[in-house]
Amino acid sequence: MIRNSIQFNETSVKLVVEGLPDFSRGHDERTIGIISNWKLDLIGSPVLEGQRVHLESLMTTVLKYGRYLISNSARPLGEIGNSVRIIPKGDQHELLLQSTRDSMKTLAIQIDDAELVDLVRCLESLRNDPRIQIDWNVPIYAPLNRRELANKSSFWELIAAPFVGILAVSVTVVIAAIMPISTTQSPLQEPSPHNTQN
Amino acid sequence: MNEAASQSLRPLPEKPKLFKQLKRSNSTKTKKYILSRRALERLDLLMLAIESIDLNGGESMVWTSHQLGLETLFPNRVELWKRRCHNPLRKATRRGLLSSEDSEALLVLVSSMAERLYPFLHQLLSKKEPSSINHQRWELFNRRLRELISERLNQRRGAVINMLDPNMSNELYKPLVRTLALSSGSGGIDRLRASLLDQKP
Repeated sequence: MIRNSIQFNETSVKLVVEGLPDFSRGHDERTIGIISNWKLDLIGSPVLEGQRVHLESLMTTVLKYGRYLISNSARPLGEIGNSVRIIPKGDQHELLLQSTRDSMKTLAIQIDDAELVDLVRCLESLRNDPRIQIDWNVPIYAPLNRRELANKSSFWELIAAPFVGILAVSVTVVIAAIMPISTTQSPLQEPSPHNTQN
Repeated sequence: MNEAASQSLRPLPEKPKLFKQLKRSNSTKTKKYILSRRALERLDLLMLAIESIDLNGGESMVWTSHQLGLETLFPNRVELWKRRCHNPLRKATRRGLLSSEDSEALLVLVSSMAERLYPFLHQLLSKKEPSSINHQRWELFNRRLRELISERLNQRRGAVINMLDPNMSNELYKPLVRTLALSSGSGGIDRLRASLLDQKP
């Protein structure tokens, strides 16, 4: 049986994906269309293994986290009970991995920025590798809206400028309204004493 | 840092591959977009950070742009400088916004430069490196970036004053390095583009 293995290496991360071509979809012998196994080796942590579902969950969580991090808006991702969660912890990141076996405890791995970027690059290479023909259910990158940004301006900062503008216009209008208008008549309307005598 | 940089810089992939990357990112993945003034400010700061790591960064950028097939847009340093002057914080700032083509070309350039400098970005971000050496690297990077900022940006602007404040520099410079690292690699440009198109906070 044809069994392909593709390896992705970064400084502190090694990801090995094993699988078979899906001949029903017209793949050639070197392509992986069905993932049978994968191994992730993060330096200083136990080797992680799993099936396609777990890899997809890892990809979704980590790539999304990387997307938030590039906008300086890192936040905990992955719901409680999910196989993969990631939480910002000071200037590090905590990767929480829940095994499908009930007897296993949740594995917590502390990674720094460099290791996280390595992991993101590895998973990104996997997603974009033409030798792996799998439709990953991973969201594409999109701009974040105001609510998702961590360093968003407060309500008062937002309304301060228009408020000052409206106040300035109002004060000007009020001053203009209470300013007394001169009542002197124009010389043409004023009847001259000479003309009345004549 | 510059000597070491030239020793272990990652070579750029072959030209045809880069052409393909650029074509793909221009045609299928992106629509036409205009970067806001805030995004242009961030993009120029990323380029300043690149120049802080690679002392010959200005020339490297022109050389890389030629490698990427962007010589029609950036034939020389002056043309590149003109595009970068759209940053509102510059001393000699230019009015108006960049065209979609120019913005995409700058994004491709930053992403490619980040890929070349990735070993250094990794070293800067790593906690596994000896702390004294890492501290020296950050000192050098901070000093160089501060010099470039004071040389090129308008020091009367509040944002620039903040950037030059030594107490604030760690908070401001580390995210720049992290952004550069996340901009490298195969999906880096898409991530960077999306982050520059974030809504105004």
